Amino acid sequence: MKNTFLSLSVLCLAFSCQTPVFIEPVGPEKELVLQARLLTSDEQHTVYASYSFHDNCEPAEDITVSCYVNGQLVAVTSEDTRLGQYREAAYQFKATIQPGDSVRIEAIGPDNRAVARTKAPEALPAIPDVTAEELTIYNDKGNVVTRFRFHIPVHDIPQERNWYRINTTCHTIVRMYVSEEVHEKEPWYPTGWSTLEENTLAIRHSNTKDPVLNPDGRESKDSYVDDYLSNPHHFFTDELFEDGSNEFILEASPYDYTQGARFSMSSGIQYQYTITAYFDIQSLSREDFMHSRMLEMDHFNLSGVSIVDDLFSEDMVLPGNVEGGMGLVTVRSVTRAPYDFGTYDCDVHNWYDVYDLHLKH
Amino acid sequence: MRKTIVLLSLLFVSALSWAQSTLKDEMARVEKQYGVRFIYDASLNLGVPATQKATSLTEALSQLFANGEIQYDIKGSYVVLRKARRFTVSGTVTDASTGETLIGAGVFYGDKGMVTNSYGIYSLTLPEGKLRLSFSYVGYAPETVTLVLDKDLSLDMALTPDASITAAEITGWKEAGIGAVGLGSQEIPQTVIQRAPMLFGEADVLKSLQLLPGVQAGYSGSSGINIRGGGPDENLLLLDGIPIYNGEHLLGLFSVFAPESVKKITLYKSSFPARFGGRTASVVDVRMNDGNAEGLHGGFTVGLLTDKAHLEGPIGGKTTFSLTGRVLHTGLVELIGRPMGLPANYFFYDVHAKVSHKLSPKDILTASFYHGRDRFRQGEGRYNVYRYYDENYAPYDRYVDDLRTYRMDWGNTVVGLRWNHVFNGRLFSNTTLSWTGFRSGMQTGNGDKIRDYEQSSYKESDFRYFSNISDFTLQTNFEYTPSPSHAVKFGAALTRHVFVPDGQTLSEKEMTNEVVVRDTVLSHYSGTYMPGLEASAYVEDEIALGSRVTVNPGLHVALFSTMGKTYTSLQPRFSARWDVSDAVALKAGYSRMAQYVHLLPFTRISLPTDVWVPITDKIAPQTADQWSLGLYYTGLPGWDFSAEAYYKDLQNIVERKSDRLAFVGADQWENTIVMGVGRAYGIEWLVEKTTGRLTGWLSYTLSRSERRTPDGTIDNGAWFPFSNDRRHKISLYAAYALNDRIDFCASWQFASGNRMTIPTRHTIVMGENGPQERLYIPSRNNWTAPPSHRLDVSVNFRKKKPRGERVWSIGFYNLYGARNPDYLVALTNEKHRTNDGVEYLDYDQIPEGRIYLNKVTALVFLPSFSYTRSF
Amino acid sequence: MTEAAQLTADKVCGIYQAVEATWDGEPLDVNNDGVAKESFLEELLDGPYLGIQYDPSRLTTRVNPCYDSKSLTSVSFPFFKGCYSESYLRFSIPLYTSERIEIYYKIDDDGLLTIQDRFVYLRTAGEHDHDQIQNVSIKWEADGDFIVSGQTGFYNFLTQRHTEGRATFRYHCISTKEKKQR
Repeated sequence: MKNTFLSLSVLCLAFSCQTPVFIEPVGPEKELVLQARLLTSDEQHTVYASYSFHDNCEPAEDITVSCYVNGQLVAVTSEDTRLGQYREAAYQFKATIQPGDSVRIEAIGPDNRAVARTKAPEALPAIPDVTAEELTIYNDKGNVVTRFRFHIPVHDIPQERNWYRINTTCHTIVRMYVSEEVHEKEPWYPTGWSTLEENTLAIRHSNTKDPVLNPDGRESKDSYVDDYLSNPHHFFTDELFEDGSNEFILEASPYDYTQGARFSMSSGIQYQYTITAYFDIQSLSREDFMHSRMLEMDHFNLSGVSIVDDLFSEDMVLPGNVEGGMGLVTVRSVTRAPYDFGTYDCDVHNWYDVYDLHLKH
Repeated sequence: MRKTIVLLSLLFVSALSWAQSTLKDEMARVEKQYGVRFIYDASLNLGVPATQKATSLTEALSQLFANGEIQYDIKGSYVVLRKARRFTVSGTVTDASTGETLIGAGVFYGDKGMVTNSYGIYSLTLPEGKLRLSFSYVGYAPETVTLVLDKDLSLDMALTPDASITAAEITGWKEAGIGAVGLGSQEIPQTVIQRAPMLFGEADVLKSLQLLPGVQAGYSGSSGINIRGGGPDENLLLLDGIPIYNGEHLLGLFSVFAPESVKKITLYKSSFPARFGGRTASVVDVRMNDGNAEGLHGGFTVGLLTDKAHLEGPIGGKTTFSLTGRVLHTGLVELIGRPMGLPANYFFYDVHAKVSHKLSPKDILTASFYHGRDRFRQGEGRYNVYRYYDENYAPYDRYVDDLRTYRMDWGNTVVGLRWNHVFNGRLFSNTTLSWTGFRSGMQTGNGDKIRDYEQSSYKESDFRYFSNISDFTLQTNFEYTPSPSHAVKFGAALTRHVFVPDGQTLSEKEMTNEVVVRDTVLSHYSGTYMPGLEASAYVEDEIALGSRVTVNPGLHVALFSTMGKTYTSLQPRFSARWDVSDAVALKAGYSRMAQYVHLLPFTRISLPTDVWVPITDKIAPQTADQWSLGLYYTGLPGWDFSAEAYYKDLQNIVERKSDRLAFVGADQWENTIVMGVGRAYGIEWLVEKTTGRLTGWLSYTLSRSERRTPDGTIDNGAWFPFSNDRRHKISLYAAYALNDRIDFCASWQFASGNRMTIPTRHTIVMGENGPQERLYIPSRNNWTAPPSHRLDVSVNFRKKKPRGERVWSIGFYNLYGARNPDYLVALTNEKHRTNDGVEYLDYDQIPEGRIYLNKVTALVFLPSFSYTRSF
Repeated sequence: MTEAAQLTADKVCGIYQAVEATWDGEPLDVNNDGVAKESFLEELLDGPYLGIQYDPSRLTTRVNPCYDSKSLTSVSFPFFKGCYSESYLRFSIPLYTSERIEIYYKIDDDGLLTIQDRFVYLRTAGEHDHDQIQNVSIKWEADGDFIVSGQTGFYNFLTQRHTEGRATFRYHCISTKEKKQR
């Protein structure tokens, strides 16, 4: 399809020519960009700041970021923690934000001052238990695989229009027990119980079985490309609920859940790992929802048409709420629904249990 | 305050009427002066104002009863008065040399008159007695007939062509143009279409419309039109009254109407007559020739790209036919394309056929047929030989043929059967049964043929995507002229639409050693079946209120039923004309139009695979309300001046969310669009020279059109310019006939650039996985492209042959090679590195990362020629 | 690849086996059978090698097809050197191991095969100098054989001493060269 259009255009180009049109830059030379997504479930928050120029972007290393919750100043920071990025500076601070709070982020630099005002939406009521079932199915290659299917019941906040997203993570704690004899041979391990590792990873779930999140049952084609219609980040609005509640169905492979528990084992040591899945229902503002969905639309990839091929495309205008600058600062109110897999013991002899996670009944 | 004004006007009016003498008063005066007595029935209306200044009885009587409503008979000293009987004169006006009916020919009597309708038929109801009828038409010698009307009369008139008649004085009614009641309409006679400067040596019907004010072209070379803030799908294209969907060939370089078969085109931009409905921006009413009744005639044209042949004539005494065919020289395309390395093949063809049979003096039966197809094919084959080795290292060759084919085809087919019936002199009807089909399809194929010493295998996969539209329509229209001051039109239509926009088939074929191992259809989706039922009825009346004011009120009622939901719309239409003086006229109009289908707005250029979809149960019909006002001056002989202003309010328009969703299937199309509203307003000036060796016009349009999405999806609900909002448009058209043999034609057009969304700077946005860099877009359609302008000239050399004529046409498109921005894309200046580690930028004049635009000018300078021989 | 290069590539790829071996020094008895065979190759093949008797595969190698004339293709040839360790010497079981010499070669557009000298190296190098194979030279002959020779050493049971010398092997292609046609 793309080649056809290219050929047709080339036919017209037979009598044509191409010239560049240079345009004068429009707008101020330098603008301060603030981007932040604050979660009510976090204690530590990050605000990203850059200077936007006509030709590039640079991290804004010389600003002071202040955070006001309900009018009170709760945090100030001037330290750019960078977090390894080269285009934006990262300012971290600690603050407690509850659903319903008004949040104001101010960023003051030597020649820029930007303010963003936003409000944490109402969070969903607490979620009753998440249930899971283990399924054995044939995958598309004809092999037998195991899948976990989670049912997350959600009750909407009535009388208002809400926008949500389900964020799925997995928290793993790996503990080990080192006896005295082993400690002698390998003195770098402390005796008794200690924590070897603790991590939280994002887990990608499939929503193809959920009629609300993915009405057409589309599979996301590439794992790293966001496909708008397959809704890989599980966005939804309460418009789609029939009677104020819905049970969402998400699936993942056991393999994904043991990602955080991979480590080399030594003989003689007892290991214990605890895995908890977290289904965070984030309540978003309308701007936040539109912004995120538009960005996903940006990477939309259908029928093998390359998204980078800009022959006939335009870009979209993204919402923003920063006065005196650019960008979007939003707060998402989080309602967390955990699913506890439990604690599993293993050692070097049955290490395969780590990979072959099963639900306890 | 208000009451005072009302009282004063009442006093004024009564004073006036009191001051003015009535017919009765005058009759009393005559009785006294000449000693006669009037004898009349009490039902006669004698209260009308009347004056006379005569010196004899007969003169006085003729002055008093000049309007003919009352007949007088002098019998001695008595004058018997009776109400004049009225009879109807009706008939057909034709071209004396070809027998072709003339549309819009003027037939008038005194200062009253009318024009022939789309079938060349006129009907006048006049008082009995002696009268003179005049017939006139542009390009024909006028005729006058004196007759005594004492019963209903059928009078056909054949006018002789006379090229020296370049303007005709037609007062009274006209369908379109300055003389009409409605505003915003214009007729294009065939002479302009044939002579307007051509592209590739081709006269084009829709491209000549772009020379008119208020009409914007999509992009240069294209015949797609955007009218008064409307998109390309908002124009109703009618082929002899039957709507067609896609009016273009070759991405719009040619239209589907072959100019030789076109009799007349009328463009309506506002104050739409009530009989039209279904699109919101304009109506392009194309009428085709019926066929020469006098003898067999035809011609052929060989141009730079196309060949055309045309034949028409009578079959027996009562039947005429007209046949036109046109095809693209694929060979010539290949000649140009091959050296450029283009492995593509494209051609189109058109066939128009029409047969007209006179069943009886009152009945004409016409069958018409149009079929056109565009086909584009591209194949890419790569042949390679690879050396392979088996497990014992014995070498062998494997021959691999890698074939990729793309094919696109599309086209309209229109079949119509029409019955014209004349009930009597006052009532005329035409009923049409028609079928319109538009089909477009695309096919991609991948084939691999592998052959080596032990086996050969072939694997092919084929994907076909097709879309079909099928419309069956039954419509009937009546024209009723009860009196000279009323012309009533009414009718109804019923259309069954079936849209199947997204059929798909995926098939695979596998062969081993020349034996078919598998030939299956992997998936077949016959397409989303989208039916719709459209019904409409209308009534309109053109009423003459006195001799200076004409109004045309009308009502069009439409109904569209789809997916279990029925939408009805009441569309009032109104236009009024006030002849302030003989030379100055003022017009006003209002119309409401509704549209039930949309062309999915995928990309900025229209493509043949763009898909038409009907409205759904969630998407309401698009409506447009248009108010317009116009001022016209015809006092200078040979010149017409007009100024028209309009304001248009659009509801339920469909705006695309983003171009990125270009190839989503039609069953998802509701997800890709957002509903919005729009408004467009502007003023159009036109100065036209209609007589003399040099004719033409100069027009200037100042316009603005913008849209917004109330739900805030685009730009937070703010007004943004429509992508075809082009502020100024100037077009100059001039035709100069040096003599009978040589004529020149030139057109110069200037239009402000259209609107585009371009990024202005770099920024960071928050993706779900963290911050990412992006180009920043401040608002939709934030940038105006540079203006386009071009000069096209052509010259025709005619030579009359013993039978027919031959014409050499030579033309130059874009004579001074203006680099118009036909297609623009925003890019960033990037740094590249060669294999040797040398770094370079796309352009050194601007810094790295700077946003610039790449401008493609599609057609820079194009000479063209064609040879036409007619007989 | 050009026609000429393809011909050479066809010619050089295949399964090679050592058909001839020569030793330029004194007659060797490497397998402690009291006899220094005339054919050095048989002498080598007849010896104990980590408990396995005759194993012709030790003397075969595969030259894989080369598909373009710009890149280097590798091939490795079995070679031999004496192997000593403290424990073996105590028990008087000097053995030789099969080492491998890996080379890279290139076929240019004219069909000429050149062996890249600087890429010749041994798969495993011993820790002691006298364990290494010195002065390796590889040649490809017009008739399609590879001649591989190098300075190496063996324990000669006849003289009860480690002996240095030059061993030369001729590897000949044993796979068919016939091009398969339809």
